[in-house]
Amino acid sequence: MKHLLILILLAVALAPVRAHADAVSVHALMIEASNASGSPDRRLEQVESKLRRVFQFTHYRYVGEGRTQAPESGNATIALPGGHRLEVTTLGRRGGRLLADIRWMRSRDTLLTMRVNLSDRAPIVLGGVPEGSGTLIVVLSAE
Amino acid sequence: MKTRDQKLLSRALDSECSEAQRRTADALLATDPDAKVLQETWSELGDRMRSLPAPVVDEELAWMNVQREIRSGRAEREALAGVFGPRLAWAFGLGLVLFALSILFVLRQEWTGDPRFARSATPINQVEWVETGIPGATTMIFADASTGLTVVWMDVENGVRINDKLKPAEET
Repeated sequence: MKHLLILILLAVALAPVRAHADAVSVHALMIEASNASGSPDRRLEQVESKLRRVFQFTHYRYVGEGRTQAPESGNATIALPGGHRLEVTTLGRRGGRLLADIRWMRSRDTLLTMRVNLSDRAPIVLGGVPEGSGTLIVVLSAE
Repeated sequence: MKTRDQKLLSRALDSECSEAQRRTADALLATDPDAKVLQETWSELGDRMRSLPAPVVDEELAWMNVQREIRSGRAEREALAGVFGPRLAWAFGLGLVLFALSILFVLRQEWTGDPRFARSATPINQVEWVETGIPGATTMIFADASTGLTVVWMDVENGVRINDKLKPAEET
């Protein structure tokens, strides 16, 4: 019984390590922030409260989302609505974080390029792209 | 001297007799020289034993005994009971189960919760550098400790400026 318990706890403790050895799932959530009126979108309920604590926008509209399974070192693309896409080049792990180059593209135009150490514990918010009467925001996270 | 009298004397020495028995023992001691000698001998023996040093516990020997018990296949519950006492053994087991359940609960939160927003409130992402391809636009990076969000923002000329859209510091 005691040995079984130890084995279970060991398996539980090692599970995250094993998960890290797999490909990285990168998720992008595109939102249009504006000061228009509208009811909250349930698809944004996890993130909207946090965005409201940071930004002054009064309304957040779900635009779309995408996900890719990227190798720890390699390339992947997340397609988003409106001709937007995120090109993700993963460069391996550093200190438990995923080192990656992110390029936010709209058709042929490069809007934003960055190198990030992306933790699986919190997302990065990219934003500031004018879109109609609002502003596009992408919430990027590694899982 | 009768065995019954010897037992009476023994109880009297140990103060384990009634008042009537005590009086009988005193009478016996007053009339029977053998009884008197026996009582003095026992008293002397008792004094000697009390003057001996307390027995020293051999820890190595005790540990060998524990190992032998384990090897002999005794239930682990008995060993546990030996350490904590039989009443505390089940409480220790219950505590262990609750501890394991709490670990599983925390890990379950980690696994099933939305990993993007349900975890640390401290900024833990690092942005090494950022560039924008939009002419005239500038970039800004900031981390919000209260939400754990790291924000990379473009100030687009004639567009949306982050300073206009960020909440004042006292509100965030």
